[in-house]
This record gives sequence, C-alpha cells and structure tokens, in this order.
Amino acid sequence: MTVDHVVVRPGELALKGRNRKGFEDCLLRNLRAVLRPLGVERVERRWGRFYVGPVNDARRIAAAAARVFGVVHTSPALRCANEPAALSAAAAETVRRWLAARPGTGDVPFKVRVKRADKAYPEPSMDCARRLGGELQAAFPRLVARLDAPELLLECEVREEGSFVFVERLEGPGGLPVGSEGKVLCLLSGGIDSPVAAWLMMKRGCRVELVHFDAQPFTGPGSLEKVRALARVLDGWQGDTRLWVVPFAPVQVATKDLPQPGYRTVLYRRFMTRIAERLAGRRRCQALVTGDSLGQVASQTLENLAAVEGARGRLPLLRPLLTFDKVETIRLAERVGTYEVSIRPFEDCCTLFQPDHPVTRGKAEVAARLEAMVDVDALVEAGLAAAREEDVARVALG
Amino acid sequence: MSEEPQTYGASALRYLDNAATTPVDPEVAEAMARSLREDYGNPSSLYPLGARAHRLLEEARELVSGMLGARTVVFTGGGTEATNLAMRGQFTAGRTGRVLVGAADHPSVLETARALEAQGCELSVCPVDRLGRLDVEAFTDLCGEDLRLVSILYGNNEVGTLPPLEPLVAAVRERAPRAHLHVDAVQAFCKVHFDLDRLGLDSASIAAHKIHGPKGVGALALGARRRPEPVVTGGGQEQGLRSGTEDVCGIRGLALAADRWISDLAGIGARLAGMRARVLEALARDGVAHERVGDPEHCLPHVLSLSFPGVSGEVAMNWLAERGLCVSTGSACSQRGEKGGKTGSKVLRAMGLPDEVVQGTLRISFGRFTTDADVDALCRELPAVVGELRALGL
Repeated sequence: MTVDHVVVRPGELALKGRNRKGFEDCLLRNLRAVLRPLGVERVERRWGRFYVGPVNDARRIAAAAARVFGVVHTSPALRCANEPAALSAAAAETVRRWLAARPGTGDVPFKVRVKRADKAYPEPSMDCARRLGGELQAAFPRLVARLDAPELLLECEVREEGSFVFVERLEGPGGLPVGSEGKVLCLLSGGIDSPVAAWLMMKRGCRVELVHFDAQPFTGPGSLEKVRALARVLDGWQGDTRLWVVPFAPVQVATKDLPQPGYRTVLYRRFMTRIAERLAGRRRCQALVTGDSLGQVASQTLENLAAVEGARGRLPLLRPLLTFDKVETIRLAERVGTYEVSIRPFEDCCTLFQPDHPVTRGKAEVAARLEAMVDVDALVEAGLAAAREEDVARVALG
Repeated sequence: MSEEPQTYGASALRYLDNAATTPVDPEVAEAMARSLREDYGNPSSLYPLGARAHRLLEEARELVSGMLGARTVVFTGGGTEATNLAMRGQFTAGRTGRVLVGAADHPSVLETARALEAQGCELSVCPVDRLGRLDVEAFTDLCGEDLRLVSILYGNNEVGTLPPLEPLVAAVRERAPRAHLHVDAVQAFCKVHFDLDRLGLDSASIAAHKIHGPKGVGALALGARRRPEPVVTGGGQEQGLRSGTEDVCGIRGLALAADRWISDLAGIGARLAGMRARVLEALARDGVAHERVGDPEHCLPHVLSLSFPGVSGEVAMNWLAERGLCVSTGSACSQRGEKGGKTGSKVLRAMGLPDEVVQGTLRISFGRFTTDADVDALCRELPAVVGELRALGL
C-alpha cells in the first residue's frame, strides 16, 4: 500500500555538530507553524529528514515547506514498506500520475535512481534501479531509458523508517531556521534593498523585527501601505512578523533650518539609527540591520556610512547587502517576492527636504556639530514614545 | 446621508474630491443591492428571468440615451473603456489615419492616442492656453481631409475648464468630414447640459462613479453615423460593440444615479458653484495669497483649482487629510528619479504654468452630498494649513 507524504530535507543542520539538536528543534517548530494552517497535525522527525503525512495535497504542502529557512529540498512522495513488491507498486503509481499529467504519445527519456540507506533491505541500489527500470518500461511503453539528462528522474530512497518514491524536488531557501540565531531589528524603507537585507538575516537564522520611519503628514498614507505590504511578504518567510512605525516628521521639521542642508540625509540616518537602537533595546534585538550597499547612491559612501555609524551606541549595525550590485539585489528581491511591491510608485516626499547637493564625504564631527543646535535626546525620546506597532494583516474580505 | 458620518482619526471625514470619484448615493446603493440579488438573469436568456433582465437593461439604455441626446449607448466597464472603444474602434484591422487630441486631455485619451500612433496612425496634439482652453485657431488648422478621429475633452478633470465646443465641432465638420468626433464627457455628464444630437457629435464617454453611481460602469453614447468597430469581441452583446454578459445591476446604478442628478441639473449646478464661491470668498477674507487655475468663466461648476505659490500642493493635501479633508493635488512629486521630483501635472504643464504654480496647486471638487459643514471646514482649514506651511517655508 502506498500513501502520499512530503519529504523535507534540511540543509546545513547536519554540519552543525553540537548545536544540531537545537537547530532541528527550531526547524521543526517553524515547519509546524507554517503547515498548521494547511491542516497538518503532525511532522515526523527522523535522522536528517522530516516527513509529513499521510496527506491529500502533498504538492501544496511541499511548496509551503519549501519556503521555510533551513530547508533545501522538499518532495511530494509516495511512502511504502521496504519490500521489492511495494517499491514496484509505488514506482508504477508515481509514473502513472506523472504521465497522466502529460498526455501524448512521444517518448519520455527516464531514469531510476535508488538510494539504499537501510542496509537491512536485501536488494543493492543498482540492482533495484535496474529491476524497477525494466518493470516500468514494460508497463509504460512511452518510457525509454536514458542515463544522462532524463526528462523523468524517478528517485527511491530506502530508509529505516520506510521507502519514499518521488519525481520532484522543490528547492527551499536553505540557510538556518528562523529563531536559531536570535533577533534583529531591520530598518525598512519602501525601497528594493531593505526587504532583501531583512530576508538575508532571516536566512541566517535571525528572527527579524521591522521598523519604518514615517514622514506623514508630509507624505500621504501610501508609503506606509507599501511598507505594510512588504512586511506581509516578509512575514510569509518567518511568520509572526512585527512592524514598528516611528513618526519622522518632527525630526524633519527640527532639522530643516540647520546650516549645511547637504548634511540632511546623514542627519536623518543618524536619528533613525539612534531611535532604532533604543527600540531594539526595548525589543531585545541583538543587532540593527540596514539595506546599505556601498556606493550605490551618494549617501552610501564609506565616509557617510561611517558618519552615520558615529551615532550608534553599542549594538552592531549589520549591512548584509554592503557588497551587492543592484542587479544582484533585484534578482534576490524577485525571489523573495518583494520586488513587485518595492517598485510600486513611491509617494516619497523626502524630495521636499532633499538638498540640492547632498554631501558625499560626510564627517561625523560636522554632523555632531549640527546636531548640537537641536535637542537630539528629546527628538529621540519623542520618536521612541510615538513608535507604534502596525498590524500587517490584510483587511478581511467579509 | 442616513448612515453614521465617517471619521478620520478625531476629525469628521470631509470628502471634497468629487472629480476623482464620488460616494455612492445611498438610494442607488440600495437599489443596486436589490438588483444584484434579484436581477441575476442573463439578459440573453429567453425564459422570463432573462427577459426581465433584458428589459431592465434596455430601459436603462433608453434613459441614458435620452439624457445625452444619443441614438443609443453602449455600456462599458467605465469611462476609460468607453474612450478606448471610441478611439481604437476607428482603427481596427490595421486601419490607420490621423488622430487629433488636446494637450490637456485625460490620460485615457492621450495614452490611447499614443498607442494608436505606435500602430501607425499620425498624431496631432492641439495646444491649450494658460486657462486650459483649446486654441480654436490652432485646432482649426489641424483639421483636414485626412483626419479620421478627433477627441475633445469636455470639462477638464484637473482644472474644470470647458472648451468652446461649438466652434470646434464646426471646424471638424467643415474641414474633416470623415473624422469620427468623440467627446470625453466623463466630468461634464450631469454637471452641464450636453446633447450629442444637437451638437452633432459621433460619440461621448461617461462614467457612473463621477455622479454618485458605482465604479466599473460607464457608457459610450453614439450618434447615428461613424460608429466604431468592436474592440472586445465575443457573444455580440451591446449591439455587437462590447461583448460580455451585461452588468445589469451596475448599469441600473448608472441610470438611477444619472436620473437623480439630471432631474435637477441646473439647481445642483448652482449649489455647487455657490460652494466654490464661498471658498474663494474665505481666501479673500483671510488674505491668503492664491491663484485661480483654469478658466474662471467657462468652468465645470464643481471643480475649483487653486494654486498657492511657494507651498507644496502635495504637502498641503497631506496636511488637510490629517484634518479629515480629502482634496487632491494638481501635481504629484511622486515620480522618483528626476532630481528634485519636479515632474508635476501634465495638464498644468501643458497650460504653460510656471513651476511654482504647478507645484502649489490643489484641486477641490464638490458633489451632491457635499454639505455646508464640509465647506465651512474647508474655509476654516485651508487658510490655516496654507498659513502654517508658509510659516514653515514649505
């Protein structure tokens, strides 16, 4: 008898020696959280593998599991007993379904690959593959054996817990399970870069909280809506995402008449860093994350990054995109699913305060001298006090 | 309206952007809800349920045709689709020819004209003056035997300017007898009297959501001759010009909304123009420096375009929104990229207005459900916001 299952293969966990159990526990929790809304009650954990089943909609569950960090591949599979006859039946059923979805009469180059991890199973891998190949060819005349680049690759894994037959591997994001590396706070604008920075931190096992600095009422509510949409996409990768919104107009007003308007961007970023660091402390986040990429725009020179960094206290400021080209970031943003949102027209009235000639070689001392003309502490406190959590959920349809 | 007033934060919501869209008339909404449940029959079905839907549809067609002085109307999924049918419908099957549109036209016309140009048509764009009026002389010069399509915007959506329709129509008829003459009447419908037959037009676009009807419903009114070819093909509904099962409920909503407005067109128009006058008086009383944008004499009654030079229209809009007042900008610095974001409204730029005026423009537009309290709030908050922003140097 065969039953539909999903096989989930974690990645680097196997490398992680002593920490392995902790990582696996974390991944198991995350898988359960993602699959519970799909009606999955139980996720089975075995040496280096997770299994979900029996299930009715293996493809959908495999696709959902393939969006969990720490997973490298998932496969909808048929599970059967470790017996030659059971393997034959599962292989035939798998091929029957595959061909049914591709009607026609043309030849299908195919190959069988068997991996015997359970040495108690008597038939060696190569013999088993040959046997199954012969049986399938006899049963399905469209199949022709082809060892290189087959169109249909039927894989059988014979393991202690049972045998799994499948034809599909869905690629997961890899990395480490979210939550295995603590928590960070990512500064999220409406642009292309910062959501990718957040995603990369998730990929390395961090739970990522988000903070957005909101220029309303200089801008309309549109840019905040865009940030909420970005947060929703990111939430699909980690679940339970928290988005903090800090009103930024008071800082813009307080600094608008300072001399050297070219320093405005640097000053804004210094204020954002200060407020974010305080918020991170309150939320027990262990680092700040930005989407900075060296030299991408005038404000992201080494000097300016250093000038912004000067406002930082003790928390590390991480810049996962520092060395990325724009095209690399865009490619990732497309994979993450944030690109389409990020390129929506931006209601960005920062242009209102944008100086004609922003400094490209800012100095922390100059920034500090300008800041001495305003009450920095009061502005930071006020920003922190006004920070509010934004619900990222969609408005209900009914 | 009978329902609880809407609020925005602590302030009452004051909707003063009726040229963008309008709140649905509660009576229309109710009639539509009933129709949505009951009149679900397909007008093409032959049993009584379908026949009833067909009858309701044709009655709506008669009503709307009558209001516009049209031979018939083709119901569409909105004003833009109606305009696309009128324009693209002249150039099906690879036909080409010259197209004449106005520089301050709505994007549904301008972009469609550009698309026609890309498929081989020749495009002529008639300039407008500083009031947004088509230059009759230039327009007449652009008319000629080779012209296949003319589109005139009747009632500019940003500044309200009404073009001198009669001399323009006469120029087309005299010099370009083969041209299909389309009028984009989306803003003017119900606001000013408008008669296809009397003016001798071939088609006019209208939309329900500008007159307290539903969104997603519009119509192309047609005269007797020079009909377009279909752009959407299928089951041959709407006299073959717009296939697809008819939205009986939405079409009924359009007809009812129009009927409720047009039965008192002059009275409502006078009331809306009165609101506009009150805002201008308040600005004068408070000594707020401003410029009226558009033609103050030949103007849609419900649109008031104002510029506050030196103030960013976009910021003023956002500040008014904070106080519950919904108005729109004549310009948007939204397009990033261009340094300083100085893109601004295409209409205002076509009118040749200086940058300072373009960036400082706000559009206020009234509707049948605008109350005196709404206007009071605007007369109070508009001078205040402009004053505050000027003090901030924004």
